[in-house]
Amino acid sequence: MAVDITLLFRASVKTVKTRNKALGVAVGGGADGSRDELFRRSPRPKGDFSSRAREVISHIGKLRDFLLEHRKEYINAYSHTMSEYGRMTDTERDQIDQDAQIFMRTCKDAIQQLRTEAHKEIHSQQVKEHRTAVLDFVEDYLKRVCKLYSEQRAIRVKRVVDKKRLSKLEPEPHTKRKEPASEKSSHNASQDSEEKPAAEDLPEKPLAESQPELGTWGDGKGEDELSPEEIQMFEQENQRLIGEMNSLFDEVRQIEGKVVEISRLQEIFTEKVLQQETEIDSIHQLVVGATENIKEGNEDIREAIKNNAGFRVWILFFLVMCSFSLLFLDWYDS
Amino acid sequence: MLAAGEIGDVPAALCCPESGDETKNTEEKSDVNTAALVGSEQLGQGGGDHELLLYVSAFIEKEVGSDLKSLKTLGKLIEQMTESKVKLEEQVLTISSEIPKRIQSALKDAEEAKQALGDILGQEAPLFSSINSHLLIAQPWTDDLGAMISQIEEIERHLTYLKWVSQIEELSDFEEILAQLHWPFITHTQSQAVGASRPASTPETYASLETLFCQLLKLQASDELLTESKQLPEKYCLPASPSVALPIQIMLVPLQKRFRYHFRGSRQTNVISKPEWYFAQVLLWIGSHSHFLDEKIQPILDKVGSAVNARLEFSRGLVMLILEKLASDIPCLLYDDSLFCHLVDEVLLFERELHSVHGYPSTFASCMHILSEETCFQRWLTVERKFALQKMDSMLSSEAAWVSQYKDITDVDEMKVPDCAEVFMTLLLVITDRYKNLPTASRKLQFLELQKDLVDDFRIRLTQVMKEETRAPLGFRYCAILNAVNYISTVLADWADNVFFLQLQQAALEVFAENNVLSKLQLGQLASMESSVFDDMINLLERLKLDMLTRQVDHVFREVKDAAKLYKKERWLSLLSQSEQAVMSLSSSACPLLLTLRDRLLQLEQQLCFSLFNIFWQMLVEKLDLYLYQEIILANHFNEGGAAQLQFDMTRNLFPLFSHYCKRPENYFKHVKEACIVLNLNIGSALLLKDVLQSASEHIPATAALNEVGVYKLAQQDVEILLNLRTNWPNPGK
Repeated sequence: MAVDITLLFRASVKTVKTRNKALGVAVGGGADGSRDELFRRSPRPKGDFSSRAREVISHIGKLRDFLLEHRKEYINAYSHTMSEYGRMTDTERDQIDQDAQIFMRTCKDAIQQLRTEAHKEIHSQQVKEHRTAVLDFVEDYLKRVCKLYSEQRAIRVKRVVDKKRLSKLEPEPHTKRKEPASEKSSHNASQDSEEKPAAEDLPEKPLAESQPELGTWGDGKGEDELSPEEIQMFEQENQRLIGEMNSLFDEVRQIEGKVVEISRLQEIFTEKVLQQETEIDSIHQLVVGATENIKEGNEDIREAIKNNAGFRVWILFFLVMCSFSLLFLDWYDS
Repeated sequence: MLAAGEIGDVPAALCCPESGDETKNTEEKSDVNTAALVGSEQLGQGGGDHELLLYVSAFIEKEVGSDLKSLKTLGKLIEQMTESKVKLEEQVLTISSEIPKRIQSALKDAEEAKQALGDILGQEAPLFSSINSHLLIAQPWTDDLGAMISQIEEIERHLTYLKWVSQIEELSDFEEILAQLHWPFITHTQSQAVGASRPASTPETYASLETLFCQLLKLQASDELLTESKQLPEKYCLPASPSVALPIQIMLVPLQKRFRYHFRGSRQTNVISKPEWYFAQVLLWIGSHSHFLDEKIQPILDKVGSAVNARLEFSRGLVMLILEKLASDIPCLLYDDSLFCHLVDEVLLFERELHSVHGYPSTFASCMHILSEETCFQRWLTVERKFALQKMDSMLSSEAAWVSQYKDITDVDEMKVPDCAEVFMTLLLVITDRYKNLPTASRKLQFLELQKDLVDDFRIRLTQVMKEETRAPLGFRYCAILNAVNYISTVLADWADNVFFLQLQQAALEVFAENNVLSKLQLGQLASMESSVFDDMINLLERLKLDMLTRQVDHVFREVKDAAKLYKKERWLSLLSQSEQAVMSLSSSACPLLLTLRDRLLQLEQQLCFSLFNIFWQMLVEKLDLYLYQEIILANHFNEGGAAQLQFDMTRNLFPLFSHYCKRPENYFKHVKEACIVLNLNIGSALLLKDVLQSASEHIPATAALNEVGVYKLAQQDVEILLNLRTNWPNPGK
């Protein structure tokens, strides 16, 4: 019995040694293989791509941190309670707007450039997919930061419009609509014929008479002092002044209307952009599903092609065998 | 005979001076001579030889003394006496010989004078007659000369006139220089002026300009030369200021002519509904002339040493034109709201542009003085109130009135203010901006009263809307109203510390002190800055806020009480003890209570702003603590299991509900916490505490024992009552 156990033990030891040798060889092979793979996987283009993508991401992160840091001051929420000390001026807010827009445009261009370069370079499919996914994520990040900025900018614009609306000491808009019409009519009347200006002058004369003597005296003295040349020159200036003032007023009114329309359109645009974002997300998902379906279809087509080839082989084999059978029968009869 | 009398007097007068001279000559000599003279006189008398001898002996004794050696001096004395004797003799001889000669010469002179006088008198008669004849001859010449003198005076007056004329010509020279410089710089000829002024702006032109400008500065303006515009009436209370410097007045004349031509006469540009036209025109003129005034005119003034600022003086002259225009136009449009509002808006824009861009100082006369006139100002207040109320109507009736404009940005929306409150405070701020630049404090105070009225009106409107929502005190709109009230009171408290309103408070204090409107206590509070101009408003808003919060707390509390009915009737007396149960779990009857509480807290946390929610849940906790203590604990008896279950429910389920809002929620439930401590004491500790309380009630209070157990707030009697609620006392038989 003792002898049997010793022999069994020795056999076990040999087995273990053999296994250890095999494991050692396998581990060494694996290490060498992974090292080779690592060596192969370290070309410069990938490193360059990674560093540049990381740089873009860090820039977008800085922009986001900056916007969030100054968000309260930018929106100027509850400006009535804040003291003058920590308040941000409108000039600084405009500067933030410009810098943010430039920054976002720069990041977008950088992403586009990286995408173009990734498309141009010759790499394996896996690398291409990886880079495309990375750039998609980066672009999504930039979109979220842009959305953050657009939100607070929209609020700022709304507040400015509200304050401007309230700052005018004038009646409500429904009353305001009547005034432009009357002004336009008076403007057209003055342009149409000369009689109406004279008619308009008539109501002013009683006003002039009702004015204190100062005005009348001033008018008389001014006119007395004027020489014919001066009167002529002043008349020309008067005509030019009327033209300039009327055009100025019209321009101001047009600009005001356009600004109001722009604000409304901007609100609509923001809503549409948000909707499109949702739709784009769903389209993206559909596209991904379609891609997967197409891959499956391709595999099915390959299998179908293979089956069809097998079928043709059997048909050819059958035809060949028939031919040989005919030859054999012909030889046997002869 | 008369001549002989006169001759007799003259010698006597002549003798006296000579004797005086002799006396002086004698006095000049020494005492020796005097003694000698006296001696000689006595000798002359002849008598008294005895006395003379005595005198001589005394003299010798005095001079020589008892010293024998000094006898030598006698020789000198003799010589001196001899000399004086000789002199006296000569004088006597001279006098005796000269006096007659002098008398005779005097007589001769008198006779000659008499003769000369006679001759002169003889000559006078023909001379007098000749003079009279000469005067008669010269009379026509005198008349001619007077006429010529009057002509000369007239010529001098003409000369003065010519000087003034030359000064006037200097004025015209100044105007010519200005014409060469293409003054005034009208905008449409700006490009031409730039091109043309370059060759014209030679150093010689500017030198002439400087010279004439200095001369005009020295020249004092007279009313005849330049007629100044009449001062506006007293009711406008314009600040007293000196008239504009003469050269700048001359520079202003063409612009004044243009302004009056365009905007005061019958031109189309004089439209009462377009005040922005002349405001824009004046601002344009100020802007286009500022460079020239700063670059060319100001150095001349600095060189002269004048304290005048050229551009500001120029601006002031133009602004006076605006003031005259406004003073004449405002009475015509007082009763047309649209035109009046438009005018006020344009005036405020003009003032803002004038002060911010052109640096016009507020101490000068401005349009705000015209707007501060009583009739116009009252109209302005009326219109402000009217349109503010309209805007309040529209802001409260809009669709988004009760929705916060920051709801999408949760980290910024700390106060959850509805849009109507935000817009209302913007309206108040805008009104403040409008009246901030009024010249007098009394006008500002009137606007402040208007603002207070608007705040009160808005509060009343909020109260009305709140009453409509009373049936749903946890609804969205009710919470929005509460947030609005909180926001408005917060903003007003912040504004009360603003420098502008502190100054108004000081002005109000002075007015009240003069009128004795307020009591002394109120004056003291205002003076010591304990209260502010908005205190009445803030107190009313705070009361409204507290009322609304109380209503909400009552509502939630009522719901919680309804949900707690089952819990109140739990079988605390017969629950299984802790050792008999496998695991402690929440009482099933407590679930409705806790679920209701949780849902309401979450709802109000989302709808109320942070500070309001803090007040809310603390008020709720206070009521809930008392309710649980009085209605559940004091109304039941507890065995060991019941007490343990109660403590588990409270400490592991109720208190953690509030741990979101504070770190140690159990400190807000003191009654319940301490009651649980007492009910869950071990039997031995309970017995000891009971004995201590019973014995302590006789002599010493048991505060230390209670504190040791962990009871700080409950009174001794309360603890005794709680101990009696326990049912796990050991049997006295054991």
